[in-house]
Amino acid sequence: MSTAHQLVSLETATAGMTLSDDILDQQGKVLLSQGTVLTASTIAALGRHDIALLPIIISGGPAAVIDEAAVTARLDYLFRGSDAATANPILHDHIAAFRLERGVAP
Amino acid sequence: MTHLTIEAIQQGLEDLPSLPAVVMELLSSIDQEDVDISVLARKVSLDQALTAKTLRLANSSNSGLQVRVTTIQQAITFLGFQATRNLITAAAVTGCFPAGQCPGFDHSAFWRHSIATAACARVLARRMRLNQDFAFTAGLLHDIGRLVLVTSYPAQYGAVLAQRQRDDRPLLDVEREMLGVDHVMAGTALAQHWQFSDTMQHAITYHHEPEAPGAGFLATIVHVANAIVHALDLARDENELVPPVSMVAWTALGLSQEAYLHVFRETEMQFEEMSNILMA
Repeated sequence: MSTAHQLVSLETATAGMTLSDDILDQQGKVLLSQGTVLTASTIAALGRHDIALLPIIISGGPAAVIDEAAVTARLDYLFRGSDAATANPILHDHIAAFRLERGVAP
Repeated sequence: MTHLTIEAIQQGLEDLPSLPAVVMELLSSIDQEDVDISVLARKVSLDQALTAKTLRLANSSNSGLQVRVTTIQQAITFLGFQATRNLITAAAVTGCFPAGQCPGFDHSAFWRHSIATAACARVLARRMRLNQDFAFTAGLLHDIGRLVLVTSYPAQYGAVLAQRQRDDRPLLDVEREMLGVDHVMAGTALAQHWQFSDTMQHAITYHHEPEAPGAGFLATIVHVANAIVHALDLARDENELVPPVSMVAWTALGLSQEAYLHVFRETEMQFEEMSNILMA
């Protein structure tokens, strides 16, 4: 996810909104992929899959700016003293990718 | 400091604030299939504060309801018994222990962490095709032993928290050193006292050592969820520290980075809404 987004409840979602992220079903299968523009029928379909909140791209305003240095510094603090033999370094990398919106490494 | 004993803690459990009787009943029956739902719904409805909080949770958007429910019975009809029981439990335990008795203990941060761990454990359980309700409740209650120590021994626990701040070491180590017991032992004692099922007790007992024999997979889920929530910084604790994550537990989940990114996002979404209601 690289764009500014907000969470919109399914009830207030309207046709024309664009998904900022993939929507998964209960089994983790992609129902609608990132960038899909919602229609009345896709909104109804999501209701049948127990989806309640949708990540929607905020149009107009500038994308939120991530202070990379601040995020990195805080993460280093949270993971201070982590032992290399634990899974902490992997978790650290995943969280960094999440916070810095780098997405999945190719 | 004089060391505490587990026997003293067990005796002190009698003096702790008690959960509403119907919530105890819900918790002890979590793995029973033959619970009389309508009787329980009626009993819960007698507690107005509990009912109101539960219904707010049920009507929040992350429960996925398309209609507004106005009674516990309706919530059970639309959400199912297991999901409703989770909401009732969450509503009850978050209001059960008094705040502000122990110096240095941040009650709100504690519950933010617990609620987030419940949400994350549920998300992980769904990915692993395991019982999401067990995971939610185990996540919510995994650190309940800290509340036992805070409530029964506020001064001693305050000293532990101050020392932990000075040393900047994992809390569990400081507890063991200064008290001779830790929040895991206290939590296990409370889980027994509240007659939790073995599955739930094991998840609480082994959430810091999921590789122990007999720990069970629920302990693995709670162990990883706990670490994720610390790493997501959701408790808003300035001195937050990610505890050691067992490589065995991490490997057992076997999730890809892509899967984790979804887990993080779902956890944050669910947490935001639940904490708004439960911490109000």
